Amino acid sequence: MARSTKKGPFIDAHLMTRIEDMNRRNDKKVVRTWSRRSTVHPDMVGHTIAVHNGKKFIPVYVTENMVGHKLGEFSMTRQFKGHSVKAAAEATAKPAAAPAAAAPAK
Amino acid sequence: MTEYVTIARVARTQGRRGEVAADILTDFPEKFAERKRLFAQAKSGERRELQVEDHWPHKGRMVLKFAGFDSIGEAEALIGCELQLPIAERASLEAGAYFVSDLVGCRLCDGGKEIGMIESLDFSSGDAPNLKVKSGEKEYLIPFAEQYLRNVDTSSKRIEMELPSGLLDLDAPLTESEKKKQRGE
Repeated sequence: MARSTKKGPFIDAHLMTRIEDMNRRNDKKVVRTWSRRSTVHPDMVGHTIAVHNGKKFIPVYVTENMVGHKLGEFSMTRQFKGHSVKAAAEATAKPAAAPAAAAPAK
Repeated sequence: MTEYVTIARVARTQGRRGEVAADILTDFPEKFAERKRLFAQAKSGERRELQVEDHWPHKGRMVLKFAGFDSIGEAEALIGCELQLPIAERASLEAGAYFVSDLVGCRLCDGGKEIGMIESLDFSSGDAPNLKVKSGEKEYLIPFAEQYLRNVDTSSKRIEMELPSGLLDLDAPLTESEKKKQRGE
């Protein structure tokens, strides 16, 4: 059953305090957190949050598309040691776009 | 010497007329329509040119029919082969996009200071893939985000970034102030 909208998204208070604090100072320092259960808030867009996966911190650069998801979704706890691809495949990567109007300094 | 890039790998034969089903390894499967010539590299390293007669997608794979392969027996010889293109024939990319194979092997610098060499990319951390940068025994994960990028020069294999503080010290022990914040004090 979905969480009641009356309550709003769940975010651990200590994490939100740090994000709000950094937004006030217009700072973009990497925040380390164990709070995988926290929801990605619009104020987090443009920040890099290092989310613990049980073994190490995985840096997660927050974009607008991630708002509403939980932080833990972006820090995998298991690693698929698949079948190695020997040759270089024709795969591409694009840098995540800079936040447009997100993360305004309050 | 011509360099090649793999776009598919033959998994098995398909049908009775010499077709093969190949695992797609390219981000541009629609380009198979334009590609009339592919190179098959066997596990032994031997490479030969093949003419594509027909192709169609099937259950997440691409079925390909090559000229001169008209029976299951002939098609079986292709199982395990990597289907490749000369690197010059790769798909053209939109501005700001890079081939993973071009990024791998680049030296990553933060404000002029070299951090290490990119080993691979991890796409599991949201929109920004993480660059796995190896420096001696240490491995760093760096988000490939426009906000941090200053210059990407794949020809000289060098990427300039300006990283936020704390990104290279993720494994450092917690400071007293961090411990207090963690406890909510």
